[in-house]
Amino acid sequence: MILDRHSVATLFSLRELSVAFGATLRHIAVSNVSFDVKPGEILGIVGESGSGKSVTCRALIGLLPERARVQGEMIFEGQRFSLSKPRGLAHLRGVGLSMIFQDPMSALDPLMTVRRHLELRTEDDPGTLLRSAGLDEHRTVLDSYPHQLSGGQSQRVAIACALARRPKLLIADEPTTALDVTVQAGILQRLRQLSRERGMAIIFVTHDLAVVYRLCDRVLVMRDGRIIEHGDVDTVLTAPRESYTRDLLAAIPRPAHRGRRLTAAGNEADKRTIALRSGSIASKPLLRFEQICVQYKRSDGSVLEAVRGVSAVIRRGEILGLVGESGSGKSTFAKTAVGLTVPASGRILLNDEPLDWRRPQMRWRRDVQYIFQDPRGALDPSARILSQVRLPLDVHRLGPKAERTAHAHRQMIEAQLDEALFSRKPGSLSGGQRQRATIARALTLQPKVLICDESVSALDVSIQARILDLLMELRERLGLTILFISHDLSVIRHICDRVLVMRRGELVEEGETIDLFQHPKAAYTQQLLAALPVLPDCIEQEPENQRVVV
Amino acid sequence: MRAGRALLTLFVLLGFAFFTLAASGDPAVILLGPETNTAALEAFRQKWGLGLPLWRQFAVYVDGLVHLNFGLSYRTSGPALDLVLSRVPASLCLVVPTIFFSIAVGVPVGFYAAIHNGRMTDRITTMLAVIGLAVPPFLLGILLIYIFSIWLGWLPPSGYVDWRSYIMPVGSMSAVAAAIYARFTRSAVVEVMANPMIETAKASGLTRELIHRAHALPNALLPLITITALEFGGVLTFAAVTENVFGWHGVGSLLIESVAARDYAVVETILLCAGTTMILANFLADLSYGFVDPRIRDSRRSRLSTVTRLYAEKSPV
Repeated sequence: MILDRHSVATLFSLRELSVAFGATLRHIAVSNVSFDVKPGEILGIVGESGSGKSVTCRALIGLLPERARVQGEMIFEGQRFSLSKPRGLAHLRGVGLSMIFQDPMSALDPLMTVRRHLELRTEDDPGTLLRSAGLDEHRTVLDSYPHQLSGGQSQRVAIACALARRPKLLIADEPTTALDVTVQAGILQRLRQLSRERGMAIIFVTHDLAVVYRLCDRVLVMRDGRIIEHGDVDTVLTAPRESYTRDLLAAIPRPAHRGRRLTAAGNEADKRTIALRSGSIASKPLLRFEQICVQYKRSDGSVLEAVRGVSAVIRRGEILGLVGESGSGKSTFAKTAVGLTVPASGRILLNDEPLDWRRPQMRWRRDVQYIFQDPRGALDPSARILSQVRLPLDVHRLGPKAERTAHAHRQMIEAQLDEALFSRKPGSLSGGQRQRATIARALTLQPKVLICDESVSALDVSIQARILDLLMELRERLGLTILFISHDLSVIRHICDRVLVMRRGELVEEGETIDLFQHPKAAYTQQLLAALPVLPDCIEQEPENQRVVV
Repeated sequence: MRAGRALLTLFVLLGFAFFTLAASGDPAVILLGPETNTAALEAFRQKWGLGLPLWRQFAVYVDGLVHLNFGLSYRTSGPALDLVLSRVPASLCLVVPTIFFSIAVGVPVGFYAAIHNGRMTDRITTMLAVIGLAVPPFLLGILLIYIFSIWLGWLPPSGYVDWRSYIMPVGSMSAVAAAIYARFTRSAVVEVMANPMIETAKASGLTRELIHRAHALPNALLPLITITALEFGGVLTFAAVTENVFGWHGVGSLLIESVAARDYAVVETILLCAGTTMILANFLADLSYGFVDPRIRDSRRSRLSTVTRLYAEKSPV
């Protein structure tokens, strides 16, 4: 990429940034990255985990740990700064560059009021600052402590802190990833306004291409510490030049490809094998929730009604989606099916047999299996994968030992785990491989129902795509019934036959996926769908991909 | 609720001390000497009620406590409480300056080490702190006496002579306590500095000094309150060894003498006082947590306000 160093319109340009870590500096996190940013421009940096996008941002603002070896320089408003000496950047922070981070809940000091946070940074009126960050209820927020704020409010306070000294460039590192879609939509809109009003440039780092499309003017695609592709958002997202960008885009579930394979399959025939069931499944109900209520007692003695009278039916062979924002009670509800939460009232029926988890039976556990979000936490770090996948068989004493091992083997191959990984421990596996192992483990007992609780949320899109493909394939081949819980509407739309929408412990809406997404009835569902960032259609698509299979 | 738990703790403490002391020796033999004839021993036992079964002795003692009678010392025949109270000022004279000096030295050293985390200065201070912790206080005391009293002859070796008598006992105790403070401060500050809020503060342009003052110190305060409570709580006993080495007539040395003589009433009274101060110190620490940390303050508020706050949190932004 060729930069015009003398361009007047350039606010900031980064030249040949390289970052290495480790005692021997063998681990190169970023190599030879250069780009520039114009005043008021919003530049997106996308990439999967380990692509070096966050490291790049931290290098710009001089916040890398001391063991990092940084090379390169930046020109900010015509002034030259060496990035290898982070101390030289200190006086730029706040006034020139400022940064916000992913986790808003830990970005603020728990012992300080919001007012004091802002007063430490500026002498301007803190109320005005909060309003400019989009907090209208600034009067109450000002004298609140961080733990009294919601995630969205905290992130807006963090934005206000970052803006306090009127920086020319704001670096935002996944600032909305930990937030609900409706909250995210508000923050994206506010950032765009701020950039317009103040002529402030923004570097927005994210893994979510749809967010980039909604917010940014230009985009850089990074991989393994290098820039793979850059250009206008419209160009890059609709007609990418590089195959990596194309794969990345193809891995994102979108309406037009509903129910299709997301990863490139070995042959064309394979592509067609996975299709969604027709909208109306005539099969019998398999798992039934009747008027489930769950209550939690808080430490102060008050009662929280986490789930309030929710009923649902999962039919044999279907994938039922359960969608809702944080705190909607979706996980709590699903956990009643495996006895991880005990309902205050209501019944759960499997094949018309009531499951009373206060008197649990082993065979129920065999029939309903649960997969969690974090595969790292769900696996024992000190045991080999194979023995962990075999463990359910050992616990249930199914068959002789040799047979158990053989069965676990088969299950892992089914879950597309490489045989070389079988004797490894979770620590040396990637996130996607770990999640496959938990899926294999859940399937060893040949359950009738699989509950996936945000099982792809912590994964990169390309890995998420593979897991989604795997789930659909398993359903096709084994006739598995899946309850798929997610906050991500595009994933839900992609693989589910029917969808339930939950909010604050109540069922808001229920319907066939296509119906629900095209004609949402409840105001809340409409709000969710409106907040969902969507990608533009790709221009370069093979014609057969245009066909929607339903 | 809280008071009930405190009383139960004290009761268990007393019972445990009572029975272990009784199991480990007969006060009559120890006090009168092994050569005393049986009649004299019997008379002594009769006088102090030692002939009764152990559980009855304990019941009699507890009954006395309920009526605020702390018992009499076998050795002086005076009230145990008076004996203990007469020794308290001497102990406080050592412990209060010790806590003051150890905070004044330990906290800044730990803080300094933490913000230079991993560098040479950090390693040196950490190593000094480890040495301070590892050397037993009596050894340090003996060493000090050897150097300053015997070898140099600058300071009085034992007992109270003038203000210089404080230097060695306070110094040796402060060294240990300061090492504890330094270590805890260091780990607390290192933890705070790794918190994302520090990155946020740096990214929005706060200076190092301001970050240390406004974020790091207040957040590191909570663990420091805990140790201060522990040290103050043990105020009557934690000087025991040092008092003995320097011939200081405080509660600590009284405890050691009384245990050796199986002087039940005195030992139990000291334990009772020590236990009470410990419980009080913890109570004060809990109070000050709420003062420092708004999260703890909030969780103690009434149910009603918690519910309204949670509803406020749930409403969309």
